Amino acid sequence: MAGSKLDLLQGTLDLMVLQTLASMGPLHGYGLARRIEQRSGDEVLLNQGTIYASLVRLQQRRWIAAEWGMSDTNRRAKYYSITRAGRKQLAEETSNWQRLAAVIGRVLAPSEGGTK
Amino acid sequence: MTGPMREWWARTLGFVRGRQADCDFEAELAAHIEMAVEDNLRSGMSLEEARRQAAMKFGSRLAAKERASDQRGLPWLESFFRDLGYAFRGMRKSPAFTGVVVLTLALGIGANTALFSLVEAVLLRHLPVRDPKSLYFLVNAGARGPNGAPPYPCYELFRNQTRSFAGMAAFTADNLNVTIDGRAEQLWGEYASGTYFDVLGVRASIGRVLTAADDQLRPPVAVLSHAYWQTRFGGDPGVLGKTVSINRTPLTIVGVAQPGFTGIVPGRPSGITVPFTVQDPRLLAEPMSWFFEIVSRIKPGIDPRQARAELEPIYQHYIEPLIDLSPEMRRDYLNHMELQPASKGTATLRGRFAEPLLILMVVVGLVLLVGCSNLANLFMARATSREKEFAVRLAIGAGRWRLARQLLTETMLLFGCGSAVGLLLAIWGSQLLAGFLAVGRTPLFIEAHVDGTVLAFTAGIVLLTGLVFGVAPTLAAARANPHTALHGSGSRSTDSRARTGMRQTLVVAQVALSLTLLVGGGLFVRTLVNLNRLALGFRPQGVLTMSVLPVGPAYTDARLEALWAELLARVRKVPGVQTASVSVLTPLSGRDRGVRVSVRGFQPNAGLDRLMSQNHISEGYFETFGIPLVAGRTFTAADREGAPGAVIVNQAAAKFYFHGGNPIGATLETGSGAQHRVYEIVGLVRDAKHMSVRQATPRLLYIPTTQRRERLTRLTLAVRTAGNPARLTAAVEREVRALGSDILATEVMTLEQQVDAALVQERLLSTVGGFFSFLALVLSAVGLYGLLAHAVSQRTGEIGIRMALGADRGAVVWMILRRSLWLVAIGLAVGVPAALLAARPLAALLYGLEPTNTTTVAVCVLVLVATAMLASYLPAHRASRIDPITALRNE
Repeated sequence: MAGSKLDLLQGTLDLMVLQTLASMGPLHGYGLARRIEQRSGDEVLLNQGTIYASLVRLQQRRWIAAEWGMSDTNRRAKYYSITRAGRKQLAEETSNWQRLAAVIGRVLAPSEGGTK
Repeated sequence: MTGPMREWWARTLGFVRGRQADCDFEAELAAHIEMAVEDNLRSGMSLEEARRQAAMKFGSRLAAKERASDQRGLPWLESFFRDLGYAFRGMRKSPAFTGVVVLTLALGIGANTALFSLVEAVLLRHLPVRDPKSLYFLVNAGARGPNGAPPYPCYELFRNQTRSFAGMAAFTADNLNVTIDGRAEQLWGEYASGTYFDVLGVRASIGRVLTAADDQLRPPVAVLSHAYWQTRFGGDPGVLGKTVSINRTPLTIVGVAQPGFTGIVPGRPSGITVPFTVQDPRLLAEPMSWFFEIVSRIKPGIDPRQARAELEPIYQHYIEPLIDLSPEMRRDYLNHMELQPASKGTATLRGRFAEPLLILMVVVGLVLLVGCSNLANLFMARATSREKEFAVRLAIGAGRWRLARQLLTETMLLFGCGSAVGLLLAIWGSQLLAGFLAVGRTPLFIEAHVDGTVLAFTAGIVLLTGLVFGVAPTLAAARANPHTALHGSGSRSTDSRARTGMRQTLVVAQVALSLTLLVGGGLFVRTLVNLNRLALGFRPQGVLTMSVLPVGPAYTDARLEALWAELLARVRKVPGVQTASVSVLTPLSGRDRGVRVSVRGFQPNAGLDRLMSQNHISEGYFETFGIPLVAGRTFTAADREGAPGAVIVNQAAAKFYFHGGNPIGATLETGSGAQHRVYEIVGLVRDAKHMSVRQATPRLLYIPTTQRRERLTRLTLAVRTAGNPARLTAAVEREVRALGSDILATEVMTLEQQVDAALVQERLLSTVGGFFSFLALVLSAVGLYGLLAHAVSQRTGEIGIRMALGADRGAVVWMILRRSLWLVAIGLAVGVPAALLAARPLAALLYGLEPTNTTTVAVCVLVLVATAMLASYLPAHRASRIDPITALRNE
């Protein structure tokens, strides 16, 4: 079901939002969605609407902040930016991910000279 | 705060703030879509295509909004409130169902809560003192069980020679005659040693409490209870320093005890505490005095057995040399020391009511069970009829857990409403039950209220019954398969065989339980009838009694004697009064006085053989109470001081001392030395119940008040009238007051009220037990009715076919009745042995019949069968009115 895929990827999406904001600076929801789509295709974002639950959650945890502002096309839009706590979280999560990825990679790699 | 904690906090805030964030979010989404459309236009799409692509990329706006708002608030709580709203609408839509459920639960939960509040107050509640669990009573014990503290001099030895105790105090509770501002009144209070408050850890709310120095009575002081201070003095702090007198001793009020503390005798709140030593110093020095209690606190870390071991040698050393002590007394009463837990106060109240209360608790528990069986049936039937609704919800994608959660909410809401009404009933009911005990000469004041403990108990049973009898059957019935349920034709769904079996089992269980309760109730009712029918030996109708007590200092012996004579003369002139008398005791007053006698020509085998109960009575006593004279004469004005001593005995005494021979003219002596008296037995009266209804009449010696053996400071005035004795109250009280403003008239009641009070346990059991067994009967009738009515409505088609094929109305009625008879028969087969088994432990509480009394069981069976037939007749009748044509058309 759609719900279970989202749950699985929820943490991943949160992490990507934080990373995008950290590297790109303040962005509105649409910009964020486009950026993530460009980088990951449909693998993480089922559709653009999915991102908003993530944005609410990250705001609640005070990892990102939101502010209404003007877009380049002169449109009122809500801009999100990463907070200091968000950066700290991002650093932690990134190293966690890398460690986990390395472990999983080792475990799943075809065994070299292993016993039969 | 960590991230997840912040999230929960933000969610809670979001939940409280409601939907104000939605508008903002709407604008954000709109901006998102429009930016997407603009981008698409820029890449060369047509407007229509640009919009379509943007919407597609975004996905469902509704889903996005829902997810975001779920994230913003507390979705499970929101859906709970939605379920609650839905459940409320459901309740309103089927008022009959709601009404039956709420009423059944209100009665069941109400009864259980009310009784439990009484159980809590009488059996479970600890004294409102510091660390009640380290308090112990020090009591004498012997072959006849524990009884009171050892003599006062022995207590003083304990106090001075032991080290296991942090403190000990002597106390005794009694009716005190208090004069406040020149007005006499009667007040339940305590004599207590100065250490009393310290041992209990009770402080003063104003002024101070008693201290050890107050034992010296320099000057004599008193401490009021907070409750009495509030009711009698309106909480006026000016009460400190005020002088009141108790039994003519002036005492200065020095303080008010902390709120909530009213002594350590449950049911008898004390209003005033005075030093123990205010009592007659001779009484305290008496080596065999036996009239008070010792409460002690053992030191932390000391085992009660250790403390007892320390007391025992002191006790034996004290008792051993007492010369006046007979070997029987030593064996039966003054054998050794025991420590009894005092955390709940003295045990008298618990001893009297533990058994009846626990029995009634079981009774109301069973009533709840019977009621809940009905509910289980109802919930099952309702779930069955809602099968389609559930199936539709499942079919359009509701999760089973979601559905279950909603049913849970619905069911628990119903149980919650029922128990809320039940709690209201319980508040009223516990007062009613407590009122039952507050009657007679020594009324008991039980503060039964719905407090934390009681609420926890109620919440527990609501949760338990709700899950077992509400949720479980609903879920079982709702385990519907959407496919088959939607396929089923017509508006009626059919019960599965398993479900029908389940419902029949419940009805059988109800019948069995109801029979058990009916038999129990029947036995108690018949016990009360038997006791009421018992030859009391006196006529309780038409007699008014009151206790008359001259408290002023001027009443010398001579004046007292004149006073009693004048009182009788005045009262006898009151219109309506046929006869009047004064006496120390009256029948069934619950009090007794003993005297040792020597009967010439009788050889006592044991010390107890010389013991008789004694009563001082004036002329007119036997006429007033309707106790018939068997031989000889009653007292007359000629039996005065100086004339030859005359006494009257009852048949029990004549039988014991004269082996049934004629006692008239025999000589009887009492006392020794200056107290020695010689009497001639001048009359023989019939046995009349003395202390209690159940006890056999003891050997009784009647002595004329005019030839008294002791100072008669308090007598009970009794008048007999042809009509309602309560009507004479005002007139008789006026005569008492006319004799002097310092004369107290208390405990005004009719003799019939006194008899009722003597039977308070029996009345409690038979009235409350009887009521609840009747309730159980009604509930199981409702259950049977419900089952059959449901069956008839399910079988309309079948019955229609039968009738179309020629079955007549009688056959249809019989078909339904037969089914009900079967269920009842199985119920009885289980219920009769169950009832006999359950009744066996009740034997000690019954009177004049065995627990296996065949008549009672037979009558109960008949009542149950008749009720069941009545309950079955309605559905059977309805079945016989089914019109075959309509029935078949609907099929």
